[in-house]
Amino acid sequence: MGLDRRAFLGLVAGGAVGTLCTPIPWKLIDDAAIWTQNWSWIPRVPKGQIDYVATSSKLCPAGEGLRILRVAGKPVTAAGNPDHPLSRGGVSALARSEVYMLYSPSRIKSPLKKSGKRFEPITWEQALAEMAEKLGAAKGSVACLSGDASGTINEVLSAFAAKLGGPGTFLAPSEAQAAAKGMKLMGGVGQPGYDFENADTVLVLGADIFETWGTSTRNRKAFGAARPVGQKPKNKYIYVGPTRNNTAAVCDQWVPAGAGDLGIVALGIAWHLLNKGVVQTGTPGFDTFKAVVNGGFDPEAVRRATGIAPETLAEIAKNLAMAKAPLVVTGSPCGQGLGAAPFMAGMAINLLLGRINRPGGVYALPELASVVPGAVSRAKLLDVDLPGFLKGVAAGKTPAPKALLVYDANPAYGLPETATMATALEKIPFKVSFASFMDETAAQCDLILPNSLPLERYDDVATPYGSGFCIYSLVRPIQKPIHDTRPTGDVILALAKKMGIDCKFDTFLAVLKEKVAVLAKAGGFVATDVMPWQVAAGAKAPALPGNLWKALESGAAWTMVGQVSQTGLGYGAEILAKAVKPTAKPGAKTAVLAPYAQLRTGTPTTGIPCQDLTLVPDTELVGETTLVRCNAATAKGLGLKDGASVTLEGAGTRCQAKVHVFESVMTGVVSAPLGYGHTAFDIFSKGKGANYLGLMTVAEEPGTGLSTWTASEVKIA
Amino acid sequence: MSSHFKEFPITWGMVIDIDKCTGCGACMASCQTENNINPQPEASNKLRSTSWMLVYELTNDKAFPDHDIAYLPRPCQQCGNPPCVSVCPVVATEKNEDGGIVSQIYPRCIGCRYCVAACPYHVRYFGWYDPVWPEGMEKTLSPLTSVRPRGVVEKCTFCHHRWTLAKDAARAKGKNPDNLEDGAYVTACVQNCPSGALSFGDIKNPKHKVHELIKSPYAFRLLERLGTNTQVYYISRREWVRKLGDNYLKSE
Amino acid sequence: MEEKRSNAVGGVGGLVLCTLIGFVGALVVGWVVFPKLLFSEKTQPLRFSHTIHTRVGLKCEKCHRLGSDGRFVGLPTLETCASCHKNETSVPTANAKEIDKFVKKYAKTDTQVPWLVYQYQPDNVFFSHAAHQGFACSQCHPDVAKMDSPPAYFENRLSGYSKDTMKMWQCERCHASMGTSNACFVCHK
Repeated sequence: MGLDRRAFLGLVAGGAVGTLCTPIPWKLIDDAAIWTQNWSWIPRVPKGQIDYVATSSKLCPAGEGLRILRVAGKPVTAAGNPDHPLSRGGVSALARSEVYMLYSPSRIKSPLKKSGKRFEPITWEQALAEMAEKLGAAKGSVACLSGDASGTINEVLSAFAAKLGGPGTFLAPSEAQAAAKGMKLMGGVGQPGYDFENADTVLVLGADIFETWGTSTRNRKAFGAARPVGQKPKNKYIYVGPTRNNTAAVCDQWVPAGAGDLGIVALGIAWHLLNKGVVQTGTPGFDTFKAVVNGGFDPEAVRRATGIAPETLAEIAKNLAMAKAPLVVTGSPCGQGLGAAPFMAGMAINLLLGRINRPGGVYALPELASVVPGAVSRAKLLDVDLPGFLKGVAAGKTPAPKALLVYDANPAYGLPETATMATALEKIPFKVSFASFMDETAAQCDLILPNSLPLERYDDVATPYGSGFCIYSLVRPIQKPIHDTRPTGDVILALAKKMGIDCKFDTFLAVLKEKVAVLAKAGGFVATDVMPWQVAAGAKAPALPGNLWKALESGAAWTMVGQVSQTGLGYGAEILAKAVKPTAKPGAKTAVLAPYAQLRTGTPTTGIPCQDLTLVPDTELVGETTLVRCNAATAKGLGLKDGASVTLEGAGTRCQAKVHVFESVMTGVVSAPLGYGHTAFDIFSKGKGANYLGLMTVAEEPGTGLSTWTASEVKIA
Repeated sequence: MSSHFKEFPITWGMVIDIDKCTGCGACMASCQTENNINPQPEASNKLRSTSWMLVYELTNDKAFPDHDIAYLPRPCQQCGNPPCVSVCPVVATEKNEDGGIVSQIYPRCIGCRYCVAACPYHVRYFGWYDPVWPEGMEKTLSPLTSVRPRGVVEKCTFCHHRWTLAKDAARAKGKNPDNLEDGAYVTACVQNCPSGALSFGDIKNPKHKVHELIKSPYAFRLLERLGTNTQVYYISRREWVRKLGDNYLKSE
Repeated sequence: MEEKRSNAVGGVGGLVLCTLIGFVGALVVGWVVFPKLLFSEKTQPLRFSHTIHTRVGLKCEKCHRLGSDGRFVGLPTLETCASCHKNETSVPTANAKEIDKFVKKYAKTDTQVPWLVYQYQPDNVFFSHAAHQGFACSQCHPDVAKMDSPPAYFENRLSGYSKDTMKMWQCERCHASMGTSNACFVCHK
């Protein structure tokens, strides 16, 4: 039986018409369209209940309280905690990326042991056994380096290192060091704290207060709070430094001055204040100070040294003298390497104006009580000079330690004069890193015992440098460790027990609980409705809650208005006379290097957070080359054109760059971005740009002996 | 060119105080993580990278030391008369919702990029590549925004998902979802800016602070003379900054 | 002489007949065979009985409710189920065996039960249960409260979505009839 043509056609036509009356063509088109939009390699979003938990940031130096959004119990984004004094709802580009960094490709997934040129994964038991053996053999010559300037982990590390014996514990260089040295030399006691919230006129000497200096997020909140949108600002900020950086961009005035000349500018302003009749005879050394200032820092001398017109500094002095709450903040434009002398000179103006322990001025903050027996105090830790020590090791003057423990620091990348520092590190036979990410230092170490990230562990933030008040925040684990990592605090305590060293505590959580228990006895209050700067200005502080630990776990911060009374704080005029000297002018084919740091390129221990690479403009990084900035006059003098490829040379290192002509840089100065030139971490950091920090020469400051590096000369070709 | 501005009872607007912006980029990072934009290793190629919120550097073009700089964060301007809407061949983008946020619907977009060309503010980004997250990082994706495949255009949505969250929160408390309090709905960038340079709210609602802020004599909008009637206002007390808001002749 | 040489179907009658056969055949294929081919039938990981749970006095809102932030809880998490079913029973009935399966496979291993969601919507769709509070659940969802075992789940082999997933036109139609906005961003993200 067959079909003839007509029947066949009829069958087909009927089938076609029938098909059109069925869902087949319409559903297939619709489903095919949906199928093309659901490729299996496009991730689906997580589903589940949304809630918020609080913790604090450890990766961002500003120490913000964080409010983490969770979906089905897993952290998704980190925003600022509006009730936390160091955040007030704000968050930096670095802290915002903290959740993403849990899954950074450069995370170390388990303890590693160096085997030839590669690393082999080992178990924690093997790692602890190896550590006990090697550290036991190195007793008497163990050094420890910590990059965490504000954590109680330092108590555990320093106590452990002290019991092992040796050079002891060093802190990675930071602004806090110059400040601590300066305070000590002036006879002061306590950590300088800056009350921006109550200040109305702020003179900023170099410090990048709105980007990388101190509690930058909180500083910006304080700045913005007194500047209603579209209206006349209620405060005045003056920035003195070599470039108009992110901080200077919003200040009311930029006074161009070299990073090495900040001390001269400060004393130049002091000259005008003294000339106006401002006196502080009650403070020790006032007469010597007056003599030193009048002797060498009159307006003409300052103009010769810095190029600043006398009227500029006279005007600033007038603003400070007439202000109700003036404040002078001194720091390094690149976040490290400031000498003690510029700090002292800046602090001298605060002394002159009577701003110590006053609202809107500088508060001398007490250190919180330590709980680990044998722990070294923060003041003592800040007194030790790491670059100076390593330089000595490199030159053979100081014996190299037999073992080095590196915690939350990256000395192979984050120190100036990288060539010298590398030589020193190579001399140390046994190096252990607790890094969470595979950074340059960890890559060189013999053993890596990866620390869990702050979102995976208990930790704390205790009065970070720059805070205007004592503050203590708890960091708590929001999620179980993703990889085979352990909190270093627990690791050290277990190791100590294994080696028969008594550190009193078994876990780091126990240390923190004890710390909080002791804190409750110090007074203070938990900041929720009342903020510490309000109490400094006269508001009544609420009573401490019964259960302080519980309050801290909910994300609130313990605070206290700290005012260590000063008995011996003086001007340190003799030191100022020796240390504050004009800097040499650069020669031909050289310029002064003025690096700048930004939170979006991370810290030496974090590398560039993956999400923050988009924030970098193409005036800073193009492809794999970073750009350095100088103004047209400088470029002309050096014979360079905009966009030209150049090599910078300094401190035995060479770096590549392209030139970007940018007028907000002083003549004779080349400004270079920090945070690039990584040779470790992941694709978001590796191979991008050059590490200009390596070009900075470490010099000993006359009169103080502190290692400094703020304004190095570099050759450019 | 006929101008039919669409007017709605609620008009979400942003006020950006340029004088407080330090150019840190926290707003950019906030936007990226909030809206599931993937990390981009080649982000220095600005023609191929995606940044819904972008901070521009402005200068007064003078020589040192009279040189001055300012930073200008630029989200989608949510024009009242959007050039992108008028050119879309498939109506993947529309301005038809109360609130005035210009919508961008990814399943409907065919990727012709006509809107990318039409936008005078360059706020629209084409997905040249399939988004790639490092292993495990998909666990940090926000459920509030979808993940876009390559081939579609995307742009700032004033964190529209936060508005729907705020409306639901209001409903749960028995309040009126169409009359939200000032601050109940803010975008991620506004919420996280440490300087307080960004403000957000309903410019038609007298109880929202942006309602008064836009009346400032220092307020201006970008390329106002194009007739786009944008919902993003900038404020600067510096005249050279305001003059950069449009293409003024030397004589003006 | 014209005569048929074969017994093939033909002529006008044959044309009409074949057209009809084709037409009806296509309808049958399209409406009966095609759905069977397009959808694969799946079963839920556990035979959850709503009737048993409502009989013991559990109200719907215990597991399916609006959270304090207005977002719908949706399907209860492992924690909710495990709050009652913590331990294995040793009872040999079919129902008890399901409980044991839950405890052994999910509660004890801390794994969320991978329920198949009948109304699974794409990532780019947003639906607010809070905004639709006035409607009865059964207007959009099958009335599972009266079912002893979960209804069959049909998964579209091509698109991956469930047969019961509501399509856009259904939302649009109701919105239009109620006077609610049909602007794109009301439902998309």
